[in-house]
Amino acid sequence: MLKLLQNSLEGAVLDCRLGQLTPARAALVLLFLLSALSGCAPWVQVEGPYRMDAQGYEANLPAGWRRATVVSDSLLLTRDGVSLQYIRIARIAVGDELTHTKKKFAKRMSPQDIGEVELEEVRSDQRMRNVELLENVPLQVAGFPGFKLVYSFRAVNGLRLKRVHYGVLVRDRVYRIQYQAPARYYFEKDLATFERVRESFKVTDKP
Amino acid sequence: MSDPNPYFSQLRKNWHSGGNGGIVVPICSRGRFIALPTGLEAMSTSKPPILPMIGLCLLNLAIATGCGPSLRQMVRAMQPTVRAHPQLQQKLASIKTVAIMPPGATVYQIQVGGPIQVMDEETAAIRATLATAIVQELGRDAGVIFTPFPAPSVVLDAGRRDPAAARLATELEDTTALFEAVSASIVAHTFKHGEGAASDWRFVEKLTNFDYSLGPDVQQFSKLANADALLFTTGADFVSSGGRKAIMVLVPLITGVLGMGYGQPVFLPTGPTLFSVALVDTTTGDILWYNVAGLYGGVYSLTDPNSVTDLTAQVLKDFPLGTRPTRPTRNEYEWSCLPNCSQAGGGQPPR
Repeated sequence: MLKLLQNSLEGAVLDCRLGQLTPARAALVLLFLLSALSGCAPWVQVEGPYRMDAQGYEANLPAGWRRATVVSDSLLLTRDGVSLQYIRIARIAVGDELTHTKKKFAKRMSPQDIGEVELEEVRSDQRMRNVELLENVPLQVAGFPGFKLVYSFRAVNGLRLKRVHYGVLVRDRVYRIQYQAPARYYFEKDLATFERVRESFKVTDKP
Repeated sequence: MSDPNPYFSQLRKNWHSGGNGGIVVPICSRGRFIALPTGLEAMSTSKPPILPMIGLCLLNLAIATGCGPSLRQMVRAMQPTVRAHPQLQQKLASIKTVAIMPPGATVYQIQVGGPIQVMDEETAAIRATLATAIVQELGRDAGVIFTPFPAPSVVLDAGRRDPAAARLATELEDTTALFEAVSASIVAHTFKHGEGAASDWRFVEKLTNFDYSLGPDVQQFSKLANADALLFTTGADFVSSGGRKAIMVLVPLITGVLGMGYGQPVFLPTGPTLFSVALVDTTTGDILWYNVAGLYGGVYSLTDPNSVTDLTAQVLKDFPLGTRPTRPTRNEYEWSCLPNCSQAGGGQPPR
């Protein structure tokens, strides 16, 4: 049951970040989640070092932001609400199918190839319209060769969103470090904060 | 358009209802239906309160599951829906002209166990109806000039083949969509949606420092309209398809006769209706004043002009400009609802 709720929240968050949810639809999903959850606060304030043992990484979290406590398979942070900005760190195991393209990462893939697969996954998501690639460069992430993508797109409700997407393959997992916000006003507002989080990101999983 | 949100479908599958007077109790269970408690029945016979739909649903749920607040607590949690920027009072003095931005409302059709569709014609129609209703409602206020800003389609029509007009129309659409996202965050994180920590999604600092914004890009609109402030509105209406309406009639009859609802007939929920409005500073884009109205259970519908008039009157009832008495412009009422605060209404702001 808890897993179902977690998945639902993550789905809701995903939809929110894509601008898929209108306020009313977001509210309805919220209703579903809230009505079934009990016990802990869904969002907690964060600041400073945070170790996500279950996911095998750590990062320095910005003051004034909140972490979603009911999301277990990624680290999800926001300051004003996920429809206005979020930072999300997640990992995908080599061999796992991606949601939209059904493609899989392989152990010996180059950062550039991983970036291409990620980009294809984004473009295959029908909820992301008019995807426009703004930047695609190789970059060190957490001390490993990785990549940085920046792209904009329109959500179904017309909202123009912008996302920075870092990725890196460490051993048998691809780590995604993403920041997304509406292109207008909100994206620039917290970009520097996100970059600080990204710079502090470290993989703690031992081989 | 197929339902793009499987989670919303899941939500609909988990909706069940019971009770009287059109009040709906959504529960997350496997086919159990529940009856309304007495307190809620009493509410359903009185004038419907105006509140964010989620608040009502969650409170209904909490009560129905036996862990909810008293009626007094419930009404207390529901009533205040105004949110205000800390500098609202200072800003109000300089606002003489307000541009009413084109409404961003959308009508969705809920089908029987199937997809939700955007109803384009109805959406265009309600936007026009809302625009008229807002102008009429605010037209009763003296001392402030309200200027309707042309809709993106009008801008485009007026400036055919003019790149500047096309840019302006895009800017309008982008800003309207942004307001929708901002409004979603405000509803999610500045309203209490029930009792207990798990249902408290509020970011309490937002209550004392309500700093949501659309950004300074809105200046372009205020310059064009020569306005001191902008009024943004957005809404959503979920209407049932013909098939779903038929099922809504049949299900209570069948379940009532067969006793499937533990002796109570089962009522499928009607679609929610939400309408929110924001007064926006022209320099910073900060939301100075915000209100939301709506009721889950079919009392309001944006497709009904009379209902739109009522809803508009409700959402603008406490509008801080014009000759009407200024109602609460700070968020005091929320302080009393925060943990460890007095129930008597003398709460303190969170520290």
